[in-house]
Amino acid sequence: MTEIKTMLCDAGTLIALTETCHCDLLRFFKKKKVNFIISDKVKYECVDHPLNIKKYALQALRINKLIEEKVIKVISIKNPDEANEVMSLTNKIFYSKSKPIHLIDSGETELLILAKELGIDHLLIDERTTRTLIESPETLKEHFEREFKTHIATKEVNLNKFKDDYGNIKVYRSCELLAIGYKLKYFDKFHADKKKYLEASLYNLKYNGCAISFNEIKQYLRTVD
Amino acid sequence: MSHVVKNTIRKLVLAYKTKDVRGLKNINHDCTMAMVLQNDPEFLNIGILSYMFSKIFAKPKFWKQGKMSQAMNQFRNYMDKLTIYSKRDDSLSIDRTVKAMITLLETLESQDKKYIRSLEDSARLKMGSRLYAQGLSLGSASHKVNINKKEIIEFVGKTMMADRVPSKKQMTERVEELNDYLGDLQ
Repeated sequence: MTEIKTMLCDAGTLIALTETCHCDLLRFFKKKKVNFIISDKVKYECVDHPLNIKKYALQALRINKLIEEKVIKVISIKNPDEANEVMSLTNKIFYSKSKPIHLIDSGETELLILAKELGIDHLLIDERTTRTLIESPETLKEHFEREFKTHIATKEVNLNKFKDDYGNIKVYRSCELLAIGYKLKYFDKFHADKKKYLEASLYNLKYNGCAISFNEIKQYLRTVD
Repeated sequence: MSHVVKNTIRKLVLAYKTKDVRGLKNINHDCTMAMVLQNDPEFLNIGILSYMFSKIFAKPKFWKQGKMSQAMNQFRNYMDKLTIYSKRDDSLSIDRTVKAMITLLETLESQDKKYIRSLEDSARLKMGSRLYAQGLSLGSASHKVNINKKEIIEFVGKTMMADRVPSKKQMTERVEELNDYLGDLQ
């Protein structure tokens, strides 16, 4: 029997996938027993709020349909007070002239809490900052110093606590999910053109906000048959 | 009131009076930076206003004709008030005056609307995208400027941002890791 796999999703990833006509990719993985989980706040960001904006209502309806079909499951965090604690911890890691830099917001925070509560260490997130904070916070500090041309101080206690709690999470983007879909024959319906579809889809994801460079896409495509 | 706010108001009034488009754009940049480093929401509206004026002054047809040209005296009065409030350290009145100018500009723009997105929304989008580029998360950036995440995603997707700041892991490496997790699916 196939083991059930679970991944947490950020709003940006769902938006990018639905915007690029890849709702079916999530359905494809669901059939293969992959659960996609989002938090209440992520649902608010990609469904409830955009539903009231004419320009984004269609994409919100698409994501809502995936929720109704149970392809995506919404789970509330058990302890909402913890969100404030985690946000306070994370947003007091880096300082400029003794003022903390407010790095992440409630949507990203809820995902981190859910990851811990549910014991899931596979996260789909297209945006760069949370990903870099999890994988390489020092890179983020260097980035701030380059951007603002000023010294950024690190509160090591908070950074170490963050690393202990969330450093083990593995982060992927929508483009990597698409690449695994390709490997698992998601694109086979396009027969001989399947690699062209993969390439076009990867660039389309990039243009829709997935934080990936042209070079990364080119390098990856060289490895694909 | 911080000296940074006072200094920004001084620059704004001067750039307005000299119709200095580049100066107004620089103020908008400085405000975005201050929103990160000072964590002070006061800079949002000042940034929005400087962006709106930079766009208006960039095209003389915007401000030399019609109701916009008639409103220029009113804006000059507002700017004089800003100078006075700044000297008095009166943050509340500064905020109120800046908001009044944004509202007036919005009203004037709506009377001859050419684009779906208003100048104010464009300002929020530019500032939000810059906050994200500077290193804030997408959620944090969209929250600070009060626009939908999707707007920022759409905008940055058409920039070279992801190419300027390379990812720690390359796509090939991430695909291998994800393959270890999902690759055995049937």
